[in-house]
Amino acid sequence: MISRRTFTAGLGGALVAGLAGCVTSHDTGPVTGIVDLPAGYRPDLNSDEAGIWLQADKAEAAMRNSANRIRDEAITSLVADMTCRIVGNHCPHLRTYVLRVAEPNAMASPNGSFQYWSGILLRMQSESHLAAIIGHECAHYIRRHSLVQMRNVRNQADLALFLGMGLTMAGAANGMDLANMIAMGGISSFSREHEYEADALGLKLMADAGYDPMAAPSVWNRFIKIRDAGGEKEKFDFFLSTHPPDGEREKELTRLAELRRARASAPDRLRAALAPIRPMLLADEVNRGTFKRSQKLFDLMQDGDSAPGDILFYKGELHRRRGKDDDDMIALSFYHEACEAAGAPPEAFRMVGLIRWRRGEKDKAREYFRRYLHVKPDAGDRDMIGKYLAGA
Amino acid sequence: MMKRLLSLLAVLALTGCAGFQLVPAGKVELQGQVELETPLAWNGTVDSDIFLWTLDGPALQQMIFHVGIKDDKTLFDEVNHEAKEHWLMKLAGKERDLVTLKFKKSMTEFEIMDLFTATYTAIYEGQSVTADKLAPAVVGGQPGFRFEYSYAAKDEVRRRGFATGAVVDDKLYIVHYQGSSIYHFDRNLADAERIVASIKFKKKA
Repeated sequence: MISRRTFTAGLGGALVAGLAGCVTSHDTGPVTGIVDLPAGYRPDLNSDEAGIWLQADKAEAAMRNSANRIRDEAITSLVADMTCRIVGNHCPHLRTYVLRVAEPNAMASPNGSFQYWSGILLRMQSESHLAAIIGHECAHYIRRHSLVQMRNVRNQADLALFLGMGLTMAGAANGMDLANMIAMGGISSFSREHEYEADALGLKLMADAGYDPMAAPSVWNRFIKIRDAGGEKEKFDFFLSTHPPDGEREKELTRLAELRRARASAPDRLRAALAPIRPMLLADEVNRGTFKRSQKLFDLMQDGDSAPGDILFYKGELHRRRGKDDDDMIALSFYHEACEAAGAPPEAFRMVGLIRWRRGEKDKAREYFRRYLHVKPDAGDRDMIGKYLAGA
Repeated sequence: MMKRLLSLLAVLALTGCAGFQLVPAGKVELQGQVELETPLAWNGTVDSDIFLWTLDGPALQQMIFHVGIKDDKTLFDEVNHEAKEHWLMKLAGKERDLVTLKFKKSMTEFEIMDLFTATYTAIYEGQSVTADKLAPAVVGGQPGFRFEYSYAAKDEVRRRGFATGAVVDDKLYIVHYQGSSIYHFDRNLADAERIVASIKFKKKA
């Protein structure tokens, strides 16, 4: 049974999730029952909607000044430009933020602020992939899912209270628990409806903007592959899951995408825009400490990448950090591959040197230390490298 | 902030008052392995092989000593995922997909710095700790290392720090000092440096 505490926490969580609709088939019209957001709209100050806008304004102010906000021009400009292409006449009223958070997530707030976490950018294979995510978030915003979800949570809480009281007075054991469970189920299934709706509208928006609609199910296929690599089953709970099962979303998006003509000439500026910050994002992914999932992501990223040196280097880092069995040798092999590939960070040379030094191959190690300092003469650790070159 | 810290650091950062005692100015011995001298009194607490000192509260500045980390051990129990695995899951090869960051006595200084930043990034709930300026150093008469680091935790306060340490008798000793970039780091940096300069490793009996 769901305890009152769980229910209360659930309501709180549902409200927070509702305030920032996140990464959701519906082709029969809005499930919200209210009109789509008019461009430039601001709610009446006496309305319940104004309350959630104020909260969103406050959260946006914190995000704007956050130390984790990525300010790199290339990626932030691309995300802003794509959002405008996809969202149409709402464009002047939206703000987009890219945040350095390794987890894959994106959120749209009712006040028009959108946040994209770096972890989701790293998981995108193409600009059309990212367009599917942006389209989904724009759909949450246009359909005003935050507002409707907040009202639904409030109504379900009222319902739970009255139903619980009635059941208790009628002598039902655990009457409040039963009522709470029913309400939680109502909130979660309503949220899942929103996700399906945002998936469908998002796909329409991104396809209308010139992106490949097949990218939408492809994104989910990618997420599923990475999750499965970690050996974890998807946890779906009818009463508590606010999002539909990944596999169902992929299936429905495939059905919807097949109804549209594929776009062979969709733009793809993502790889170039991510290039300046990709090593940082790869390092953050390694720092998540998930070996198998990160390894799968890196395999998927490497497929078809013309300059995979940084990916190879961080594959090596995954193995070196784990440090089991033959990991040191596997890491050395990846570092060597990275050194020969385009896009390798200078640190690949350093790591070859370090592992060879540990193996007693000091002359070979010094050769790679020199190569490291050659490509990075102002390295912050040059004094330490100097110690090794001098004999350690 | 730092909700996930079930370890010493977490408790301190959250409550700011758990188990603190006065560390008077003067000579201090840690775990019977390290001797040092502090020019001023601190509020200190200890959990196993981790000592934490602060003047104004851990969120503003702190000095942490990891004393004698043995081969194949973690800096914090919190990041020892292997130890939390149920033996049945291990037997079935169904361990969670989480890497345990352990000190290895064969590690180079670069890898120790990486162990430090990766461990503290995990401790700070994924808020990236970045380090730079790794250089040789002498700590307690032993050849060691020193580097600088920085991060912004979830409270959005930018912090700076330095860490120094050495591997002695196959055990890792790290001491690091950090404070808010805007004020506290600079304010007591000289005090921290004097403490580091006074470190002596006690000889085995």
